[in-house]
Amino acid sequence: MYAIVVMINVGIFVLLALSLNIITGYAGQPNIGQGAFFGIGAYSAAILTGKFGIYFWFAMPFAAIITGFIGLFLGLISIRIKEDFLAIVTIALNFIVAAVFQNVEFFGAAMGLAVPTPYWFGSPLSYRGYLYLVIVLIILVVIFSKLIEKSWIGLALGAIRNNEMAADSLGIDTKKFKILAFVLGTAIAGLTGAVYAHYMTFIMASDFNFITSVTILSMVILGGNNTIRGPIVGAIILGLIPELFRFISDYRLLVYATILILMIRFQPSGLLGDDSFVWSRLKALKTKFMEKRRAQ
Amino acid sequence: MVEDILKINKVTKKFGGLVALRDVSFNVQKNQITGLIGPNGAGKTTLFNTMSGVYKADRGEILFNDENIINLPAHRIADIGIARTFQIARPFLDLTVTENVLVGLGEKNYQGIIKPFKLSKNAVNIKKANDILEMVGMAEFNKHKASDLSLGYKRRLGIARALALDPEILMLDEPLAGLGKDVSSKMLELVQKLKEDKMTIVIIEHDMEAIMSICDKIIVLNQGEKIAEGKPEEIQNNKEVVEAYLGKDEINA
Repeated sequence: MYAIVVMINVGIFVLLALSLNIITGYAGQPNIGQGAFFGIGAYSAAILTGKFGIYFWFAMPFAAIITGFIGLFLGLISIRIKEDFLAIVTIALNFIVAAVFQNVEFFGAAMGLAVPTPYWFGSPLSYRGYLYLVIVLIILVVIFSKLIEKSWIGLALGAIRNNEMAADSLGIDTKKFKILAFVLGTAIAGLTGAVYAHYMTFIMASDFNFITSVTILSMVILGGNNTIRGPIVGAIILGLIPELFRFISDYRLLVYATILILMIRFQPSGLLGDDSFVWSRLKALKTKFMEKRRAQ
Repeated sequence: MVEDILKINKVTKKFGGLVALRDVSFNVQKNQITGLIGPNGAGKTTLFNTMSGVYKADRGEILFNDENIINLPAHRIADIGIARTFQIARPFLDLTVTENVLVGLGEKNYQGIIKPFKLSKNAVNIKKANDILEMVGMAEFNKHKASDLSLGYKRRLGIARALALDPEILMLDEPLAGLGKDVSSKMLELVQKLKEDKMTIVIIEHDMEAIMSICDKIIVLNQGEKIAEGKPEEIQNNKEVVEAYLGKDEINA
């Protein structure tokens, strides 16, 4: 039972890290406010099922669409405001969204929101059911990320990540693709929020504050920005640490800040990025192994 | 028979109170190399940026095959068939050399929302990209990251990427700047070869020997205005041009 709960928690962080990777990794746009979109998805779904009585399974994609729509506005902002300034805007956005949830009566204000239990073929969704749901979603998001990497949108975003002016000069509508990256990345965070809200059965503004955003970003940076394996591994490591070392939870921000600084200073591509120490060793090992097999 | 493919007509560009380009007009002929020279700050790169949609012009028109393309966004100009390179190379550093060129092959697939999700790295496209790389003489670097390349090859990659658009006009912004003698002459050979392949080229360059040897026509800018236009030998003997570069007093002395 405990193991399942931990796995669901980690799985939700895996989804969030993968969602952020589309924005910070593929498109190379800073975003320290992904927690806000996680929250928008959670609150949207909670209101749709709790206040309007819509089935969870319909509310889930709806929440993703609503979140993606708000992500579109951040995408529009990213056309005018770039780099460090955009990072600050995303932080501000996170505080504003959290403040709205905290203070507006419709969103439950300081009391939070209770979320009804979803059903799966007549029986309430169990923890095991949530685990399967999270695993299915992770598989879908990994496939989707892989599709981005292998298609024209991946090349377009890669060009934008490296040099916007040159991307534009090669026929890429950089505005459109940046907006698209924000919509896709935030919509997946919103979808995850919908699952989280129903799994928790109760949500409040502090679940989606700035610390959540920093946590998600730390996972992506630790594992390796702009890869699929990186955010997954980063989310698993940082998702498990608080379970293994309870005492750390008071010093979470300190730990995340240290991780971010150390990684950016010494391993900017993350633990498992293409140029990282670990990954290049693993690749060397693999070649060695293949050679040995061929020799035999 | 020389045919005008691009007509620049009274283009004016201001930055605040500074007039960077004042009523600049000239034509670019098909299958020829048009050189753009002038002292530092004359407005050459500003003109390039205005022609390629990076800057919005304040006045004037640019006719490409008789269609006014002034102030179209940069990506539209690339679609239409005018490709450019940059003074600082601007390669996509964390992509491989082949991927850099692949980016330029995608113009039709960047339209709409669905098409960009089509797979890009199929054998046909990779072969196309590698053929272009072979043509610019850097086939052996295909699998390298662009960040591994020397400045000369980064420039070459910029040209390869632009050629991937299959453009009608190629605009080169100081392709020789900062290159050593050998690398520089090889780059010049490449430009010559492109011309032989019937490419229309507009080139900004400070290397006078080079520009005089390859250009069919030269436009001279000074302080945002066109001060001369003509064949290389005409430009060499133009008094105003010499003054713009060397100053008046030295001529009189």
